Amino acid sequence: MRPLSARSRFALSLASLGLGLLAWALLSVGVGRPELIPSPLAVGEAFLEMLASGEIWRAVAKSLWRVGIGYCLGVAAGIATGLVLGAFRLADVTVGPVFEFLKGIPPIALVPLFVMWMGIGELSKVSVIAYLVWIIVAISTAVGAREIPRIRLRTGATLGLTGFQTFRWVILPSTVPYILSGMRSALGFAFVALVSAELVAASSGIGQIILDARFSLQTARMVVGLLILGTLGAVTQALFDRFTSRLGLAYQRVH
Amino acid sequence: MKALWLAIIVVGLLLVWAAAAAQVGNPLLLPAPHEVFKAAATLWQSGDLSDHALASLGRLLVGLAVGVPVGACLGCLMGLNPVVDALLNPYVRFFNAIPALALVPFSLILLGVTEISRYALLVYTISLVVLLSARQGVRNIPRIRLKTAESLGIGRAATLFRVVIPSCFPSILAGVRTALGLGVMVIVAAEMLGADSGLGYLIMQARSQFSMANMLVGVIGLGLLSLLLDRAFVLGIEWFFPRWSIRRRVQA
Repeated sequence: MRPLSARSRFALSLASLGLGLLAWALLSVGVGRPELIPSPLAVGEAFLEMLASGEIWRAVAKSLWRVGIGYCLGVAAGIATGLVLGAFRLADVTVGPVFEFLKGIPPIALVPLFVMWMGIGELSKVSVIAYLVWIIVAISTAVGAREIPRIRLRTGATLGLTGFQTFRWVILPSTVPYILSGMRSALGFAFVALVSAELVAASSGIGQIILDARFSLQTARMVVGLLILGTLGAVTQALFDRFTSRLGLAYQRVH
Repeated sequence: MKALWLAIIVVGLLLVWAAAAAQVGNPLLLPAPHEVFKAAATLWQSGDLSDHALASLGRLLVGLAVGVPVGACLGCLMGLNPVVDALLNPYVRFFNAIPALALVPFSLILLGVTEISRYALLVYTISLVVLLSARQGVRNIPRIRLKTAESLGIGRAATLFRVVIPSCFPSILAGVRTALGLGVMVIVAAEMLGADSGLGYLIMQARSQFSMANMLVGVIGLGLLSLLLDRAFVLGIEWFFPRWSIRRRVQA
């Protein structure tokens, strides 16, 4: 089928969203139980109220702080681990299944363990995030370090590069695209880990707004929490793409 | 050779764990590996472990059985028809931005602490992932194939079955593989926040009993379960659809 023009595509999307909003409103009126399906208006009201009381800002600041610290620690550790694994080719072959096993453990299942070990404070939450990010970045970095075309390493050797020079001018640039793609998927998972930690052991943050709303049946507030979470995820992802696209392109050209 | 190295690494990790446990000296905080094995054996003998693992696995299979076809069909439809794509894409992008985990409390309110609410959550998660990959798969079909089909005049149905579906199948399979991992994550969350069976419930139960050993049994069991599922999926493709083997993409 023929592709649509950008304008008609936009109009269709907008109309679809409008219809969806209308359907939501009708559904909430029809069901008539705001604790099950709050109306769009109720959600808007809850949002304004939470905005005015400053609750939203506090929760966002807290959650972003946790994600930020955990993500940075995880990325640093992941790149280091991945490069080491990639450098010792045998280690990579063997640690692969181990890391995949670790990756397979849902972060939410780890939260009770981390809370037991590190207390219910910030440390356990940041650690869960850092842990998940670490594994994801380590795996993709290791894959990248392993997949460096043999010819580049040979060229480096022919040119008489020392060990460090090989690392700086051959291994690192070849691995950057893999590191970036690992960092990108880890960004999404950092929010998954954040929600896991805040749903199981929360005292603050967006996850706690959601969990609180569950027990007080203030579903409108829960929807606000979900919307904020989605927005944060989408915005950080977009910022990440914006900042890394140039870097990524630069390194693609090296290939 | 590879297996030998793997065995050495696993034994090494177990030794480090045992040494750490001896250092900590408190089985409530860090039980030694043999204590966790003992806990696993006890749970296995009482039938709890297999019951909980099967409960989680059963939910996952139901979610896959419903979610994969739904996601694949919707994704292909969006990829093929620009009008449907324009209508649905805003929603797909919107829901994709919200981690499915965060919807667990919402589904518990809307559908109650019931089996239905867990199935709904899984179907939602799995179909969304599969939809995205199916859509991408259809969009990435080389134009030349579609044009060739057109100029050969094989008709729309034949184009669908002989060009579109075979071309986007690998992408759908990759989506199913991602969905397996996400499905485990979501089902465990649902079981931890409101259920009376499943591995997630096992962990929460162990937590309330302060039984670190049982908690570790649950956590290690989950890691093994997702690793096995992933490997079984890859091998299954290899076996039944050698044409679409993803062995080359096993890593990361």
